[in-house]
Amino acid sequence: MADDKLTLLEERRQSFIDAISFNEPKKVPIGAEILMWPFSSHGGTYLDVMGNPDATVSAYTAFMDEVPLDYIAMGVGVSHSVTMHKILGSKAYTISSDGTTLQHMQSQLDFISVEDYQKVIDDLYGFMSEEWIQKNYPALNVPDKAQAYASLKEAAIEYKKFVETNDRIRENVFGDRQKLNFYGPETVRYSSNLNTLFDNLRGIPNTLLDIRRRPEIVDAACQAIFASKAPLPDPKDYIGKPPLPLGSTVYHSECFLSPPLFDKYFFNDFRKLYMPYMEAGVKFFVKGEGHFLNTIDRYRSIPKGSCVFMLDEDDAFEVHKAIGDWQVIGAGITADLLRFGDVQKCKDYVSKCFDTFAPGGGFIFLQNKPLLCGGDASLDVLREVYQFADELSRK
Amino acid sequence: MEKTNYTIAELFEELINDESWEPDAEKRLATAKAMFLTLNRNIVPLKR
Repeated sequence: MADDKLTLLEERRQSFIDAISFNEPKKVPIGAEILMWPFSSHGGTYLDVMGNPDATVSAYTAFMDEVPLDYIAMGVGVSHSVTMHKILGSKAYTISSDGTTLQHMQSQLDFISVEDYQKVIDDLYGFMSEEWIQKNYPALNVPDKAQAYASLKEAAIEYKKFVETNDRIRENVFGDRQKLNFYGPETVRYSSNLNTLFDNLRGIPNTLLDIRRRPEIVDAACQAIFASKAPLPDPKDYIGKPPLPLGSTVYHSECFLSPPLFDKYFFNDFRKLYMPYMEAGVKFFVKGEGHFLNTIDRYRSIPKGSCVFMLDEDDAFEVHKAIGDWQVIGAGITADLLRFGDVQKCKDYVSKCFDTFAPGGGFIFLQNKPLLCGGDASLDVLREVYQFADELSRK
Repeated sequence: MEKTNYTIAELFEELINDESWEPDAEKRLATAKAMFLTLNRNIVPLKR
């Protein structure tokens, strides 16, 4: 039994490596990015099982009995411990009215003010490890230390349970079910310094305004963020290794930037800092957000096959025309089609993707957006569409 | 923001040393480190 499973995982791994290396694989890898949707796949909700590890693992993984998947993009499990945040007095994460979707409420974060920029520039560590936490977690900002500690301890107990439950989900998916996890401990990660401001410290609208109104201070803050990052591993350690696990980068602010600003805040650093890894054979999974066709030509200046794109809003066929001979396309079905639920239309799109992208390799099957909310797809539609894609993947 | 008479670092130190919520010292440290990162949006690690 153990040997059979190893063989299946090895086959999945080899097909994935072939596909992202522009060799036609034995089977085009069929994958999905999944967030909270699985809890709704059989008519339930996350709230039904939250706090019960056995029920959580079972509800999350059940759809995989019916939907064929070779790999999982980005990881599995519940992304945030809503209860932990709640215990500490934060409303930044909440469960939506569908009982399943986990929302990140940026508006509930107490972002830095213009004046706070200087604190970030002078002492990012000190600011983030003390003032930021006290600002955003009221339970850790009370006069009585014993009371604050009691909240932290209660939150830690909850967080531990959350981590252990996610570990069990990973064990089920990547262990028992032998799905390929394309990330690992050696994964090299890149997130632009601007994204730290955009997503975490200053928020979306303020960051975009600051780029125009106070670019010098934005640049100084970006430098401070860069200086705080852990040193990268030695690229030589990656020479001669298989291209798994993939490297990782995720777009956040990038689709809001003009091409020159995209270069300044994202691509120039990506190329400069990570080119040695690409030259050593590392391939990066680029999770797109929004449109990025207008900057996709930049990826011709880095080695062939060094990136695997998960598209978002852009038309996969346009992207393929622009860069498909040089970088790998993750595409095959769209969230809109899955949600609309016309199985024949889904199958037509899937067929067109396989006919266009699969010959010659450089293609993995993946949706354009994750399965996020309860209503994102019905299990019946997903099963039919993925079974159809699975059949095509072997031809 | 009001100034408290304790720091977040002190609270985490107490958490790491408190066997009452997790007897395994390695698990306590790992959980505390992961939680600290989560609270500061994955920007700075717990220095220890």
